[in-house]
Amino acid sequence: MGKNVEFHGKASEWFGIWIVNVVLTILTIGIYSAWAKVRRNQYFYRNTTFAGRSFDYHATGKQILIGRLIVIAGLIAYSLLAVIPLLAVLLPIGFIVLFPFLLMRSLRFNARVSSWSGVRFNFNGSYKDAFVAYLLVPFLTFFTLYLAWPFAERVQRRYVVNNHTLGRSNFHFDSSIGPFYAAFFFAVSLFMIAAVVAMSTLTAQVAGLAQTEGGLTPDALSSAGLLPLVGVIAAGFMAVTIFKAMVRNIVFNATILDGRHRFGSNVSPLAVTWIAVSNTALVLCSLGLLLPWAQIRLARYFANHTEFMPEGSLDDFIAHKQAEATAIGDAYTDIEGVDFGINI
Amino acid sequence: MTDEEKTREDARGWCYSAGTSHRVQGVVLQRGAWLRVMSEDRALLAEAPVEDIELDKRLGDLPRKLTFPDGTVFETEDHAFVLSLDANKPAGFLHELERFHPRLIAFVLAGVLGVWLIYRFVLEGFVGVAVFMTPQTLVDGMDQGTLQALDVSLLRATTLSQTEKADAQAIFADLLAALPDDERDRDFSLQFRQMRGSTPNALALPGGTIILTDSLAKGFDRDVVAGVLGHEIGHVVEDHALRRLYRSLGIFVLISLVAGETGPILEDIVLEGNVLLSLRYSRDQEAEADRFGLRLSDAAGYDPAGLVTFFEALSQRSGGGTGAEWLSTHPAHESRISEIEALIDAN
Repeated sequence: MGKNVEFHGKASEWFGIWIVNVVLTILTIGIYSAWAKVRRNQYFYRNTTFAGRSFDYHATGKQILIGRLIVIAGLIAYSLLAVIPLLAVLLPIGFIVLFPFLLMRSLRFNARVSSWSGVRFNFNGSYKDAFVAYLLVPFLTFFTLYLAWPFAERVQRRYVVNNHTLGRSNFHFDSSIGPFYAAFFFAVSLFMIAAVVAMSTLTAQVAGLAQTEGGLTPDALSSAGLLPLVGVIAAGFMAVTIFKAMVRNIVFNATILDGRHRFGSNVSPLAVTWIAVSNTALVLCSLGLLLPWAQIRLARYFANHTEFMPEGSLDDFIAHKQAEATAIGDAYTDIEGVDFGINI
Repeated sequence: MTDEEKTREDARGWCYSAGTSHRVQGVVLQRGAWLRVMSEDRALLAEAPVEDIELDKRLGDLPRKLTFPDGTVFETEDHAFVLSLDANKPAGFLHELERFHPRLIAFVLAGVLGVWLIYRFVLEGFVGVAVFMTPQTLVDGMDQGTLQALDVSLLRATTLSQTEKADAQAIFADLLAALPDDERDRDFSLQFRQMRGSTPNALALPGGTIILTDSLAKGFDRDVVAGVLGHEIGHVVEDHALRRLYRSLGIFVLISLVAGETGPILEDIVLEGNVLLSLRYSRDQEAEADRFGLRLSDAAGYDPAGLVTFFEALSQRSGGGTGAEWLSTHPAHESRISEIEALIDAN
């Protein structure tokens, strides 16, 4: 795609920052990880430019540490209170009610501590809309055997994109449901094919065992069953990756900033899967030491397949009045391993 | 050094105005203790004393940002210029550590050693605390859920007669009575089920629910049933299932905390794959439960050789070959039998 979007990070440089993060995190029994996160995000944000202007990440290690401590205190209180039988029933319900709130706060925090060309992002999504997009609609798709999942996906993407602003300028995304269904069926059918291959391998193995004298034992069966099971799970992970990559294209291609600046994405779902799979293999084989290289490789691929098509001047985005950002929601998603960041 | 000598300092870069995305190319000049940002056509954009200007921390080769009190940001790739401003402030210690340099090999070794130490010592402590803090109600809930799932998939209703059930319950009660006092407050219960393929087997769920299959209750004598139930009670008393679960969650938290985001697929493997693998007991745990079961059935007045009889019978059923031991989470029957016999001889 156009050279308008670039990622300048270098694996050797990032490796040094990363390994120092790792060692300091261990030496400080985890406390430094909050500052490590800031350094990591700054490295990736600031090395990403749209039209020559970079992003930046402004959260402080202290903010993130406080957020994490609150979450840990909450988890401890939760497990202590769960001893009381009545609360053991009520607490999970309370947690479900709380989930959209934490999600909304996380999006808001991440938006407010991120900037592009010196102007901060913001997020104005409401609790009600988060509840609908992340609990109600997904719950309803259950009754369609998840065949209506693309609708849930679209509601969620609308919630995230349409509530974001850069300064006072709005992002807008909408799309017909067709492309979402195309992505959904593509991913599901690839998964089905992989699952059928895995299951037929299993059948063949069991048939082979049955022919050998005394070969059909519970232990032999469970060992034989493990491999195709791993295959099916791996196929599931890949299907999710493929779906996410296709949705990324849909969302970027249909997003408009300030009613005129457009975006584009043409990532290949199979290429993303290949990068993810080969990264995984190389990182595992290198005991994690190739992780920095793998992260740079993925970021560079995404940048190379992203386009920014500004229409007119990029000098007149105006900052909004900065409200205070809190780190509670952020740390929650951090612990859960979910990231709703700009994700370029 | 006189003020005259300092004034030659200047650097080119981008000047971002406060409150908007507007930027122009410009130059920053040092005039004594003051910095001044000028546009290319020599208009003054910002000025402030050096000590009032906020310098960002150096990060790789990224341009440095000078933030003026009015919010104007000047961004420059002239590292030498910013370093000269930095003279009186703390040097870029972190950046110096992070530089690509042979010293990083020492960091790699320290990182590997640190992760190993945490894995070896801290993780077990974390697991112990987490097991201690887990309320019994939560574990009971896990038992109910697992039993329901098993009833749908692997298990069927029992065909045992009332007498057969009462016999097994009596053995179970004998074993529980032989438990140390501090282990008796768990919610132990014995459930009867038929397993697909009529496998003689017993399962322990973390909260104390133990499932006995029909073919084990019918096909073997009381000493064998006592031995196997003792083994399963051992899994519960030693909190094996919970320990495995917390261990894999601990590994996930450890990796996320130390390594940061791992990226698509790898992240799934680290979380779900890890937890999935933890659903089976390890070989060490099986051996530990064997030892516990032997002592318990012996204390309850049963012949500890019952467990040996059981594994011999299993071994015959499977025709001896159970595959390579290292592949399985269970030790091979033969090595279990010889270990158990050695234990019995020792007592």
